[in-house]
This record gives sequence, structure tokens and C-alpha cells, in this order.
Amino acid sequence: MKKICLVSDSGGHLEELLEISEAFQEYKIIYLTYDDVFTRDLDNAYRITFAKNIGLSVIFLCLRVFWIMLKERPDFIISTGSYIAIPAFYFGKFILKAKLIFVECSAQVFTASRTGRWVYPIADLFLTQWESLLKCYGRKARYVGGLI
Amino acid sequence: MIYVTVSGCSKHFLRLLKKIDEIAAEIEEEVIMQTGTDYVPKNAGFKKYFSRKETNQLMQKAALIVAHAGIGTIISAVKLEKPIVIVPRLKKYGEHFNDHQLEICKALENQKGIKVVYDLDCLKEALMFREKTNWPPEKRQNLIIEIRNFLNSFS
Repeated sequence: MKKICLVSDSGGHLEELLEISEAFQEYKIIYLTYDDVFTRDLDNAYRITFAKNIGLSVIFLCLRVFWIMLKERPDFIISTGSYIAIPAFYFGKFILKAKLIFVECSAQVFTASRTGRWVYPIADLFLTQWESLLKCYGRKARYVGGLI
Repeated sequence: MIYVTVSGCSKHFLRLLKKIDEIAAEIEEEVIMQTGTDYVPKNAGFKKYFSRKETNQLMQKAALIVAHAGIGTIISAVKLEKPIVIVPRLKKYGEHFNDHQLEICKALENQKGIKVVYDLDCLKEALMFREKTNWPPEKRQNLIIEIRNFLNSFS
């Protein structure tokens, strides 16, 4: 069974991933997210504690993400956003040769997210949830629909 | 019952909570708030955070949901076909890192079942809002089908 790693922040981004999970019921799913009250009840989840005082913690975050990717070796990585997706996507693409799907969060209506801009060049499927967002990206980005 | 939620953002949204508490004293309907901070409302039931299960139960019970303009809550309300009033968190009050919640408010301004409140002086009146949503299911289905087709093209 092919394996999908779902990567996101907790809160809205995670909620969106859970919503689209209808699309991959026949795959093995693991989550990579942050540790907080909203993610504790997820099964098969790696929960990373992330101190907000940036600096060193970014390096630790990346190392943690690399290690998890190496251990799990997902075939696909899917994200709706937040920074944790950036190391996961780059490592997944160049080391694991995983296929990458990025769906811009539906909160991004007119402006691109920073994570979206980071992963756009390497994503294999890049979708926005509003047509108005397409002008921020190149031809690879597509709009077919959205959750709201 | 009116369920008010500001979710798990690391910033406060006291402006909304205080205003709701003020209004709760003036209306008959029961108000329950998820505060996300140590703020203690005087006229409403509250908890700092509700679990996913509790949140779902409260939303199902609610006649109206009032929330910050966060995607998670909006999606849940839409799925449950509940009317929702959304109030954007604003950077100038220290409620968020930026003003991105205004984007989704603008996009949803004319959507049935959603009322966007920019000015809290209009909030009391907005709490009477009970319009049902009518979301076209195709938008959601198309997104899911697109992702499924992409995944299946590798098997």
C-alpha cells in the first residue's frame, strides 16, 4: 500500500487536510504536524514541538522532519500550508523522490502564502482554492474547486 | 445557544470576547465561548479550549456560530449547515500577525449563510442571523477528484 505523509500546521490547515482525506482513503496515511491541543487525538501522527523563538529551533525542526521522512519514506507528500511543509517537501523531492501535492489554503484568496511560494517550483501538483489566486503563480498552478 | 470560538491562534481576540460578553448580558439566548485565553466572561459559559469532539457537539447544538475568520471553523459550520457570523482578527489590535483574515471575509461577503462583521457595533444585530447555507457541493468534489486522479495516475 502506498504511503502518504500529510504535513501541516494544526488548526485550519490541518482541518483542510482532513477534509480532503476523502481523496486518499485507500492509502496509508501518516501525519506530520505540531503538538497542541488540536492535534493530540490524531492517529499515526508525528507531533513536533516548535518553540516560536526561531533561530536554532528552525534547524532542529528541519532535522526532525528529515529524520521522520527518512524513517517513513512516503510515496506522496501533501500539504495545505505552513512552514513545516518546506523542509518536508524539499527533502521528499530530492532524497526520497516522492510526489508532492500542495493545495493553497482557502484563506489565500488574493495573495500567495509564503509556504506556497517556497514549494511552488518543486510541487508536482499545485492547486489553489480560488481562481483569483492564480495570478500570483505561474502556469503550473491550477484551480478546480475549493472547500469553501 | 450561540457558540463563540476564536480557535487556537497564539494571539488573543479579546475585542470579540468582551463584546460578546457584554451582549450576552442583554439577550435571552445562552452563549458559550471558547476563549483561547485566560479571559473570564461574566455572562457566558466558557472554556479555554474544547476538544475536537466537544467542539463538534457544541456546533451541532448551536443555532448560530460566531467565530474569528479562520478556515477551520468556517468549514465546520458549512458542513453542519449552520449560520455563521465571522469577525476578522486585525493586526492593529494585536490579534494576528497580519490582516490576512480580511481576504477570506471579502471572498465570503456575499455567501449565503455567512455574515461578515467588520464593525463590532453591528455585532448585536448580527446575532439574530439565522440564514441557512447553500454551498454547491461541486466545488469541493472537484478538488477531491483532482487530487484522487493525480494519486491514482501513479498506481
